[in-house]
Amino acid sequence: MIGLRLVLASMGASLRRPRPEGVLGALVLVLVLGIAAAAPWSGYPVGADVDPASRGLPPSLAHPLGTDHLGRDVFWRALLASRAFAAPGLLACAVAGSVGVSLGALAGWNGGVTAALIRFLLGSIASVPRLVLVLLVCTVYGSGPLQLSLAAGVAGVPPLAEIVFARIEQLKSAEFVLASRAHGVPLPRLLLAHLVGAACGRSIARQLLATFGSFVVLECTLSYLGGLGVREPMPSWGNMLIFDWGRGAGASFLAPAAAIWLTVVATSAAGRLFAERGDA
Amino acid sequence: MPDVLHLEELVIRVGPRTLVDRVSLSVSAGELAGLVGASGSGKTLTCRSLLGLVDLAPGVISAQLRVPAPEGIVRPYDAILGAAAPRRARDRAFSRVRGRLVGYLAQNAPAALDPLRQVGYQVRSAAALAAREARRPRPSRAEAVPWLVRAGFDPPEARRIDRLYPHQLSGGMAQRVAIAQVLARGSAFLVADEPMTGLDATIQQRLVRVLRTLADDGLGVLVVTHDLGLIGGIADRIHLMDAGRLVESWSREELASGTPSTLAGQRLVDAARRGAW
Repeated sequence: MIGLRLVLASMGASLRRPRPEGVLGALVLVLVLGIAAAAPWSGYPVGADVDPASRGLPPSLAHPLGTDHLGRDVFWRALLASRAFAAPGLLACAVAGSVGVSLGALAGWNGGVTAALIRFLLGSIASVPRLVLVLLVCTVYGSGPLQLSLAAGVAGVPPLAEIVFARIEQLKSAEFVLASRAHGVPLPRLLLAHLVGAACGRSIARQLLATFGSFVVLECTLSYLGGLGVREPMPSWGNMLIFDWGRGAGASFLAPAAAIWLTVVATSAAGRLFAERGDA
Repeated sequence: MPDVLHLEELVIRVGPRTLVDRVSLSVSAGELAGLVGASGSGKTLTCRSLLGLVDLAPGVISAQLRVPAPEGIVRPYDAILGAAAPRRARDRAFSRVRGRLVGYLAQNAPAALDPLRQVGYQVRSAAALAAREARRPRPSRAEAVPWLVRAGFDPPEARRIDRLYPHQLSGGMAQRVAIAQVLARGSAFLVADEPMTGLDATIQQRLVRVLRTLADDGLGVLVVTHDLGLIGGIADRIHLMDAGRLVESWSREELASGTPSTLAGQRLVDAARRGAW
């Protein structure tokens, strides 16, 4: 617990003079996650919302983004679709974060055979393209949000672990590390507070945001391709995009496309909050 | 004489070469001892061996180290000798010695502080470690300032330093922050590895006086340096190393009056006298 607090504190230290685009991105991201969290209470009848009488309507007050070719409200479905990636995406980040940081720190601090084995494992994971890895896992273990997020989390481990590994390997012979060993600082604290927290905190935060952004794209891709992602009638930006392609009114496929774009751009912009000082 | 740190028969090897050969020395509480020698004479290795920090292979192959502790004498090397101990075994054997019993001042103080943490945090963590071992409550946020003051800062300056990062400090300030850490850590002995490196002459002298004060307050201080002139007049005892061996040990009186019996000692004393005149 003390480690978590320290990691958060070290990230907080970089938020003192935030960049405007970073703040904007973070606000959009928080809004999207908030919508996903509030979605269960929306009362929108998913699955029972087909209304042939009002299909393909342009935007209006009753339907702010119009309706698709089954007469379903695009605005509400686009909001509800955030559930498809929010919780699984956060879970994927948690998996990538905990496993990646631990493996990277272990390899960086111990070096030698441990590092060689861990890096061999990471290289093996990284050699499989992310989409292929996820498809493989979903084919073998079934396709649900849990399998999807675990697979995406594992796919996110190598880049994160490599960042932590490189930084710790570089710092472990630094004089302040020798000094803190001489002061009798316990190893877990040295690793968490000084090496992982202070020296890698920002890179970890940036990498986790990137993992989340790529999870959004991954989820939409799978749902777009059909079969493994979110299936009709449950909405996902991916399946909304393909379902109405060439059939509905303009907004019905533009809306999910714009939502994907906005979320991914916001995620990447939020990463700027954790830019190193002096980075352009 | 209960409070004496004893090191006996220290041998350090790297590959086939013997870098430190059967060195024995001791430091008592309240004593300021100097370990003097030319570069490469093995003095830094000797002082690091007091903390189990010789990260070489095979490293320390023989040593008897006795560190006085409230619960009795700690002999960290006894458990791990015989073979070159891996770092983890050494870390475990020395966990009671490092910081709690023996503190360490590094060669390059600005680099010995975590560059990404504020000074106050780093002094406070040292106090927090000491508090946890003594099962006292965690120190409060303001706790760093008194230690900084004891290490030689004025109170207003100490309050300002508290919030700075190491890169905003000068070398002398960083060295005093490092001393504040050792004080907050509550070590009974202090090993200072060339603490004067990179400081100008006045700050060097000021640092030596701070170390003298610490010894007068009851700490056992071992200062490693190549500058006999700086430490000669103020240390209680001088150990001279040459090519991995301890060749002479002088008390302050012997240093002032006597003639060194070895060539290395003669050269060093000559060099110090030339520097002084």
